Order: sequence, then C-alpha cells, then structure tokens
Amino acid sequence: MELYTQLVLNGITNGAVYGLLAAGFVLVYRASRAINFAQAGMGAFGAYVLFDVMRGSGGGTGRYLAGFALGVAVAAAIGLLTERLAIRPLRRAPALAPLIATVGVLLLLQTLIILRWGGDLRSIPNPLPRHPWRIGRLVGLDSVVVNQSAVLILIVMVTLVSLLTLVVTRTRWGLTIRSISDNPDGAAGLGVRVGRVSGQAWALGGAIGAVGSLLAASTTILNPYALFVVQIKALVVGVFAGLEDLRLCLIGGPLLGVVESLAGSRILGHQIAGLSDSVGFFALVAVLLLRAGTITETLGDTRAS
Amino acid sequence: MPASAALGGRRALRTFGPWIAVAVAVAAYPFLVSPYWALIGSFVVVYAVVALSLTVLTGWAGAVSLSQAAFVGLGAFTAAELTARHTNFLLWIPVAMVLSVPASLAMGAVALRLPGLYFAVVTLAFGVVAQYMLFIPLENNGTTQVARPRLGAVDFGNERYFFLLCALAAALAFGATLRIGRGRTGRALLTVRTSRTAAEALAVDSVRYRTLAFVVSGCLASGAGVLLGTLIQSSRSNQFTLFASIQYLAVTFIGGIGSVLGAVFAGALQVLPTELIRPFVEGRDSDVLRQSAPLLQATLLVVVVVLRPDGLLGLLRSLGVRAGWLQPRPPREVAFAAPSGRARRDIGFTLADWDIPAGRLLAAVGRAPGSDLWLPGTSAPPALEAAAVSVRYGAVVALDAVSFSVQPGELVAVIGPNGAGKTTLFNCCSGFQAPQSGTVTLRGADITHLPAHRRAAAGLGRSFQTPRLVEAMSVFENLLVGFHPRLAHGVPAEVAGFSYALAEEGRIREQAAALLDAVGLSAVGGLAAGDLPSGLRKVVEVLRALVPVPDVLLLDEPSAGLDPRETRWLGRLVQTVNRELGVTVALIEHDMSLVMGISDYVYVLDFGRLLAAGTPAEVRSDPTVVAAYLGKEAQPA
Repeated sequence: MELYTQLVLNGITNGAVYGLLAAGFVLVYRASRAINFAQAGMGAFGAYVLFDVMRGSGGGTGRYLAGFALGVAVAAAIGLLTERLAIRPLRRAPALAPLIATVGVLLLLQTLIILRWGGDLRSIPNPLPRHPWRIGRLVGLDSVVVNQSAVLILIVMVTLVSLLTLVVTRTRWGLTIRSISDNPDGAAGLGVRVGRVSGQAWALGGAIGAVGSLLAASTTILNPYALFVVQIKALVVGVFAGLEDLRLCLIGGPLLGVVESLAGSRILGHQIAGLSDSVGFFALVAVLLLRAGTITETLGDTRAS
Repeated sequence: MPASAALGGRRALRTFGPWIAVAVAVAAYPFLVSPYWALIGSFVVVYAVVALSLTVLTGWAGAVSLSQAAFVGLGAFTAAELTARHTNFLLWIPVAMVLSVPASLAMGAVALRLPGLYFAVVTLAFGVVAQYMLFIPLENNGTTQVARPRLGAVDFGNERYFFLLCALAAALAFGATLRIGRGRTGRALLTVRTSRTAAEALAVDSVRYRTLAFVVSGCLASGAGVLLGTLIQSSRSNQFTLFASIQYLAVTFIGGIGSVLGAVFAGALQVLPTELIRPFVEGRDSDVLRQSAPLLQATLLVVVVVLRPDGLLGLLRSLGVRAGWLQPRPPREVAFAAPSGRARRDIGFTLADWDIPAGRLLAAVGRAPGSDLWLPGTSAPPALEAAAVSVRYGAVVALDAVSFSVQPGELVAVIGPNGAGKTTLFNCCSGFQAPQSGTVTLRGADITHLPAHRRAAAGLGRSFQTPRLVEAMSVFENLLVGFHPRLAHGVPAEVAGFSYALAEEGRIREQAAALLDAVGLSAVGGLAAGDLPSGLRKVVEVLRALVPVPDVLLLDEPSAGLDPRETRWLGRLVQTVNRELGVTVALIEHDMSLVMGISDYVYVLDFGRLLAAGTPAEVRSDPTVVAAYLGKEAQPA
C-alpha cells in the first residue's frame, strides 16, 4: 500500500514536466498545424543558458530567477525565429514539410549545444527546495514522501497550463488563435494577422516548454539528449489531448507519469525490461487507433468531389 | 543487316555504356585507394541503401518515418545474433528481411488509419519501443559482436573485398528499386501519395500499394543494417537511436528525397563531411569533428525543406537544364513541394476547335469491351443502376431513395442545383460513399459492397469535379496510370524485367502516345500536369479515365472551369467516346446547352430526391423542373 501510494505520487510529480511540454505542443499546433519537434532543443538551449548563469555560483535565488527568465526568453526567441524562418514559408506546403523543418531545427540546436557546451553531464546549481516532505504522515503511511521541488514543479505546471487555458478560451488573442486553428484562410480574410499570431504562439509555446525543460534540467541532470526523451513522452500527452485541448494536458501529464511509474515496478508480477520507458507509447498507439475515426476527418482527401 | 546491327550495337552502347563505366569504376575503386578509404566507401554505399529505403517510404509513399534506424538496427542485431549462432552469412540478409516484414506490416496498418503527422509520432513510439524492449535487452545479453564472413577462399575481413560485397548488394537494391519506381508500381505509388481517392478511381488498390512500400522500405533498411553491423563488426543500441533516424531522414532529404540517385548523394552526405574535415581538426577538438557533419546536415536540411524541396539532385538538375545539358522534365519525385509554389508558367498551348476525324479516337484507344455484349433491341441489364439509394449525414438527407439507371450505350446527364446530391450519387456508384440503403449494380452484378478500386477494375471509370491529376508527373505519365487495370504484370516481373512485362509497358506507352496524338495534345505530353491551366487539367483527367476504355464512365461536371470553346471540345469528346468507343456515359453538368445537346436521357435531382427524368425535351418542358431549377419567376404564367 505504501509502495503504491509512493509510486503514484512519484508518477504525478514526474508527469508535471510532460504536462508543461505538452501544452507547448498544443499551443503551437493550434496556431500553425505543425508539431514543434524542436521544442526540446529550444528548452535545452535555455537550460544551458541557465547553466552558464549559475555556473560556479552557490545557486542563489535571485541569480537563479534571473537566469531562469533569461533561459526562457532565449527559448522563446528561438521559437519566434523558427516560425519566421522555417515555418511561415511552408504555409502552403504539404502538412509534413513543417515537421521535417522542425526536425532540422532540433538537430541544429542539439549540435550547437554540443559545440558550445560539450556532451558531458552537467548539473545546474539551484535554490530549489531539496528536502523530502513527509506527506504520508497525514494519513498514517509513514514512509511515503514527496520531494518539495517536485511539488513546486507540479504547482507551476497546474498554474501555467490553467492560465494558458484561460488565455486561449477567454482573451481576444486566444480567440484569434482559435480562429486560425479552425480556418487560417478565413481568419486571414477577416483581418487576423495570421503570421504574427502564429509567431507569437511559437514564442509562447517555446517559453512554456522551456519552463518545463529548465525545471527538469535543474532537478535532474542536464545533457544534450535527456530532454529529448522527455519531449517525446510529452508528445504522447499532447496527442492524448488531441493536440487541441489544453485541459487534457493538465490531466494527461501526471497520468502518463503514474502509468510509467507503475509499469516500472513489479506490479505485473515481475519487472519487464524497458516497459517503464515504452508503456507510454503503447498507450499512444492505442489512443490514436481508438481516435482514428475522429482524426482522419481532417485528412481532407477522404471525400471525393 | 550489318547496318542495323551496328545501329543496335550503338544503341546498346548508349544504353548500357554509362552503367558499365560506373560498374567498372566502382569495382576498381577499392584497389586504387587505401583500405581505410575502401572502408569509408563501404559506409557510403550502405548508407545510400538506408537512404533508398526512405526514398521509397517517404518519397514515394509519402509517409514520414522517424524510426528508420529501428529497421537498420533490426538488421544489425540480426547479424549479431546469427554470428553467435554461426549461421551462414548468405542467410543473414534474407533472415533480417523476413524479420522486418511483420514490423513493416504493423506500421503500414497504423499508417493507413492515421494522418501523416500522427503517423510520424507513432513511428517515434516504434523507435523508442524497439530501443528499450529489443536492442538494449539484446545488448545486455551480450549479443553485440558481428563477424566478418568468409565465403570460400575470400575473406571479407579484407576491406577491399568487403567493399565489393557491399557494392554488389547495393547495386541489386538500387536496380530493383529503380525498376519498381519507373514502372507500374512507381506510378501507382505516386498516385496514391498525391490522392488516395484518385488512385482508387483508377483501379489502384491504395492499401496494397502503400503496404508494399512499407515492406520494401523495411527490407531495404534491415538489409542495409546487416551490412552496417558486419561493416563495423558490432551492433550497439546507441547507434540506432531517434537521432540516427533523424540524421538518415536529413541526408535523404538533402540528397533529394524520392529520387533514386538522390539516395546516393545521401549516403555520401552521411559519411563524407566527417572524413573531409578530419585532417584539419585531427588531434584537436573531437567535439568539433563529431559535430561538424550533423551541423552541416541540420543546416542544409532546414534550407532544403524551405527553399529546395527537390534537394541537391534537383539543384544540380536545374543547373544542368539551365546550362543546356539536360532536358527539363516534371519534378516527378518531389514529395514535399507546395503545389502552388511552382509558378504556373504560360505553356503556350490552347485547345483548338474539335477537328478530329471520325474513327481516329477509336483507332487509338479501341472499343469498350462490354460494348460487344449488347446490341440495340436486346434486353441487356442496365450498364449501371442505383436502386433506392439513400445517404444521410446525421439529420441531413443527402439522397432519399434515389433510383437511377443507365442503359448500355446511353449518354445520360444528371442535373440539379448545388447540393442536390448529384456528386453523392456518383460517389455511391463509384464506391467513395457507402449508402445507408439501396444497391448499386454494374452490368447486372451487385457492386454495392465492392471497394472503389475493384469497381474501377470492373470497368467503371470516373473523373472528379476538381481534377485529381498527379501534378508532379507528366501528362503522358498521368495517362499511363490510367492503364493500371489493363496491365497483368506484377512487382516480381517488373523487378526481374521479364520480357512480357517490358512488352506490356512498351505497348501502353505507344497507346498513350497515340491517344495524345489523336486528340492533338502531343505538345503537352511532356509537361508536368501541375503546370497545366485548369481547362486542360479537366481534359487530361477525362482522357486518363478514358484510357482503360471503361464500360461505364462517370464524369463529374467535366465543363466546370472551361471556357466556351473548351466546353464545346469536351462535349464533342464525350459524344465521340460514347458513340465511337461504345462507352456508356453518365455526367453531372451545369452547362444546359451541353446537356441538352448531347444527352439521350436526363435525371433531375433536387434536395436529395429525384424530381424528374426523361428525354431532354421532356425535362425541359416539365413544369416542376422549370420551377425548381430555373426558379419560380422563370415559369411561364
């Protein structure tokens, strides 16, 4: 009982990062019908900027906050630049061309990171609370603990994704995003500056993803590849949300975290090699095939006229 | 005759000469360079085959895969496993290919059900699962060593001999792929990539061909994986990560995805940048050396996707055209170019007035096979009949128990205002819309539940309101796609180049050329269909539907977007097709002068119901038709 409570709690907190990155995917997809494969690269770049700011310091709070803001801003700028240079010119190209372009941007960012910072493992000095929080005592499960920084990340995730949801559903800017995702040509015809709004969405998406990436890099390790694995799992969550519904990112991130956490345990009798890292993808394929009927409607080529 | 023998000899030399030269150069290469450069050559050749697998999958079938490294890894780990079992080397590649088939089939099945973007995400999942559940456990078991084989007296531990082995395997792979791409299968794949609907209407089984592309691609990649594992004499999970997949995709794109020659460039791009930079940074900064190639590849990838979707090969080709060394030709393989990105240049061709002598079309195309089975006055079953067909979209009734039949040899028009259900009726007949109730029969046989491509193969052709040509292919090649159901040879005959397959291919090329000549369109045969103005596109689509001489031809608004002269031309064409070739025709039309001028019988639809039916004269004077169709105010008081 205590073990499983602990596993579920671990999962929820681990999944918070997935939720943040997934929200970044959803936002970008809604504004431009493209999946931003470079998101992890943008986040990683921001994380290395934070690393540079914090290197050799004692991890003071003021310095950390400034470095964090700088890292997120750099990621947002890369998002804006990517949209401008690689996505906007492909507005009329087949749907898969932007995907390939972001794959190229990812590869580019990764390479630049290795050239600038090397491929070694790094850790970012940080002021995040490190102490375990004996939350289990409240209900009599003494050994159940939660890491305080993990709780902080969860709070950040819930706050940011909720805010973003409000922005998209309640504000004028959110309305333009929705109009673009429904019908870009129609929106353009009504005077929406599609390119500009989509650029803003890429910047904001890059920033949201960077918040998740920087937090993940601060609390675990930083290397040029680790965030990419996190991103792929976040993509699973994003697809679970239909690349559409931000609120599902809020649930989907922690949900995937829990599923992974349980799959890595002996819950199935014995441990299965690699199941923890793969289980999300089995879920993904299942979700996609179940939703296939609703997704293929957007294919465009299904009707003969 | 000695003269013709010499001519034949010269022709053979021109055909085979370049190939022989390439073969000699490749065979001599390892003996002219150091063993190290022979090794580098092997890498280039093997990665070229990997790129070839992506050419087939992404370039021809249009599916972007981010897990091609998993297939390569499957091959490499198969080599490791078979090394441990001391299996004969000659079996390694076949075993790896067989093992790849179930994975390819699974991916193909998923790809058929999902749009491309989602499919790309699923391939990520596939790559990660292969990594964590297959490669890492295998590696932990110690299955990592791959031995260089020894066949008879030849020890392939020698880099020079091993290069020859890789080159031979690659030559077979490239030869087979080239033949698949050029012939019936390649045309079918490009059609499916452009529009599954168009492919099905042309009797191309889109599911079968896409699955075939997945299997071929998986076999190529896993076969290359065996060679790669044998080349580096080990297989490690960290070689077959998503980054490897991304890199494969990047170099294939840069080389020119969809082009077989581009795959050779891709192999070079994968390997050579590192080797060329090595002397300059040797012993200094290993990160710079290791990252220089990815840096170049990543930058080029973004540039290519945005500016030159046809890649390096396309760039060289257009330079060659500008310099006058090469003939311009349609960008057949370009999978990721924006259709409207290409400037519609003025093609300098307009359709002349119809002056094609009687019998000319018949001589070029032949008569509809079904037309011999009926004679005027006999009681043959209707050529096409839809009985009480109903279609509802939720609460909207698109067709309400509509019955419609076309007698053999008739030319029938279906008219009605927009939204009357005309296209839906045609879609029910040709298999793009399943009716909720009612039956469809073709020459008396029930086809209600047949898939669209089987109906097309059974002799039911159709064209679309918006033409669905393969824009990247030439007009001539678009017509060749039309012959698809008339060809008997399959993929094996195509790959092996059996003479009957070559003869069939030669025959349809002659026929397509004869058809273009007969209708006076030879001048546009070599142009990309995407460069045609809209009127000619409609005409070419009708011709393409006509090519296999269907028993029944459904034309959806053939005159939409045509100018009056083109409309008259098309009317004469349709009439000739009906009268001379014996093709039964049903057409949806808004142009009343065309409808009243050429049709034998007219059906009028309104709001999903059959409003009236009769000869043109009867329909014209029917008061309900006049009221519904022309508006109440037009009704004579």
